[in-house]
Amino acid sequence: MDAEATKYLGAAISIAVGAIGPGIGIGLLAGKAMEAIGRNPEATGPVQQNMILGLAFAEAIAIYALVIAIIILFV
Amino acid sequence: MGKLLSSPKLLAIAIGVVAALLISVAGGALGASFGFGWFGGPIPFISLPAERVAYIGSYPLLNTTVMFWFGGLILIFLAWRATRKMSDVPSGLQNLFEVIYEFFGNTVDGVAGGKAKAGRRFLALVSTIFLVVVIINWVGILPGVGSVGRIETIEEWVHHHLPKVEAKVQEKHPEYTPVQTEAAALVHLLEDHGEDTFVAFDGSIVPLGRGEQARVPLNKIITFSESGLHQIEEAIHDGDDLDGLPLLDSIHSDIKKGVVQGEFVYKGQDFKGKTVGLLVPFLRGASTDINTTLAIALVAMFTVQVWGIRALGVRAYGGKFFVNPISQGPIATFVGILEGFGELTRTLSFTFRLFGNMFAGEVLLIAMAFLLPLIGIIPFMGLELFVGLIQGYIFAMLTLVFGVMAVASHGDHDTHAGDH
Amino acid sequence: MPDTPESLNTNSEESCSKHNESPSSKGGWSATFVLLGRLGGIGWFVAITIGLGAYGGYWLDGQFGTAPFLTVLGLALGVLTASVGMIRLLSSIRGNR
Repeated sequence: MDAEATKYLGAAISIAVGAIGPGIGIGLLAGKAMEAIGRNPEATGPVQQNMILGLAFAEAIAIYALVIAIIILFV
Repeated sequence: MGKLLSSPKLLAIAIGVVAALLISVAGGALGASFGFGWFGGPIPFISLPAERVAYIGSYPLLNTTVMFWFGGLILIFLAWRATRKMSDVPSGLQNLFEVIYEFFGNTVDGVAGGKAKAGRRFLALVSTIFLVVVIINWVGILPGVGSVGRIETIEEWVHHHLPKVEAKVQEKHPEYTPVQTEAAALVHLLEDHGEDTFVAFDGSIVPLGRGEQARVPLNKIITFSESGLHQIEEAIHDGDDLDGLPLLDSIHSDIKKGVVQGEFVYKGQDFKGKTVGLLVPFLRGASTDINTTLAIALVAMFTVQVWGIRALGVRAYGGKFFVNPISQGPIATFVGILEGFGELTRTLSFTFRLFGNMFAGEVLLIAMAFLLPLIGIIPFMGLELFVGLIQGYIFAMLTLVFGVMAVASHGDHDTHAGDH
Repeated sequence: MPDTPESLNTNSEESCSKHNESPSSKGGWSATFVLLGRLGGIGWFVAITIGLGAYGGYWLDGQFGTAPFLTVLGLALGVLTASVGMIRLLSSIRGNR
């Protein structure tokens, strides 16, 4: 397998595997937030704001994987 | 179906949508491989580092820098317009800014907790970060950004890519003179990138051809052959004088001319003699550049340290990171060192979160505009608007949270709400 | 209870046409074409503004020789004009209906 093919494969695997964890994490987080809103609709505001904050941290991990994939491909 | 056929407005819109779908699918990249492809723009050339637009003296001006100033000017103008004739009952722009200010005021007070108005010191930077990040994100997806630019000729392209190859050649053969290194690097570059394709331009304004098949490979622009390259390599190896070598000279002059020399006919249109190059956009969203996001992240984290020192004093704040192992135990020292690394990690996390989101969005928009020209980009524009707003909000909120954690005195240290 | 959005639409169109007689509120084919025409015009406006801004800057650069600065300035002004103009056109279309 020559270098170019391995490069593409590396980039693809990096983002594919790297998005599994954050995907599960965001799903769990949003699920719990939905539960909380359903149980107590008056607290929608604070629950939503804190959920977005948590989403940021979870998504940042996926973004790290994406940046590595892009660096592999284009640099 | 009856309802659809009866109301003319719905029917017209439905026909229009289906027609637009068919036209854009046939005119895009998919259609180009079947012989249609009338919309085809050139395949996007995505470069991670921002490209140079001009030189001020010897300082290279990047296209993202220009957009950052642009966004800053827009923000200053909006702020001036909003505060020109302030009224007690706000409307329009003043109302918008008051909504933002009130929202962040309440949030800051809520997160800072403690006594009322405890969070006011955070408000200025947090709302500024929010406004700046949102404006530069949104200005970065306006039409015209990323699509109009200058052509990077072959000469510049070679000039960009040569140093990397030269460095590798230097490693393998440190005894080569600069002329030999350059020649060897050129040979390697042509070998590796001989199939790289470039876009042909018509009079430096409009790209020619549609889609992938219309791009001209490098070996049609610079005439070289396997045996020719081998000859040059041998000449370098033997230590010949490379000045008058005809093959090398012809390669150099071909690079300077930068036009299609070999045979390249696309759908009956002969590209011989057309300038080739790549598109370097004049404007590019400022947050798609790591430098911008790193700058904002450094400002945020530096201010967090300043808040901490102002609130707790240097000794108490420094005591969070440099813990005396004798009085507190070695584990506490280790935790303090980890906290120090945590600060660095947060800076990097800020940088890459905003950069990754915005750069990936830009790549997505470019790829979508290439694949489905007219309509493919519509849902992703909406996504980009949303993501730009959310990323600004997240940046501001995280700065606030880290600030609140920094000014927390040692007593309530176990609320690791936002620790990363 | 056929409370479909379509029946709501025609209701508001009929009541609207009682107090302003602009062609876009009469309903029917002419109104649709007027609307589509205005919407399509926005796209052309944006494209031409940006193109003119960039080309004007490029031409001025040719006159004064200040390498790409004027082109970038012209392009930036074109983008600004295009986006502000687009917002105004859209809000006028929306306000009229």
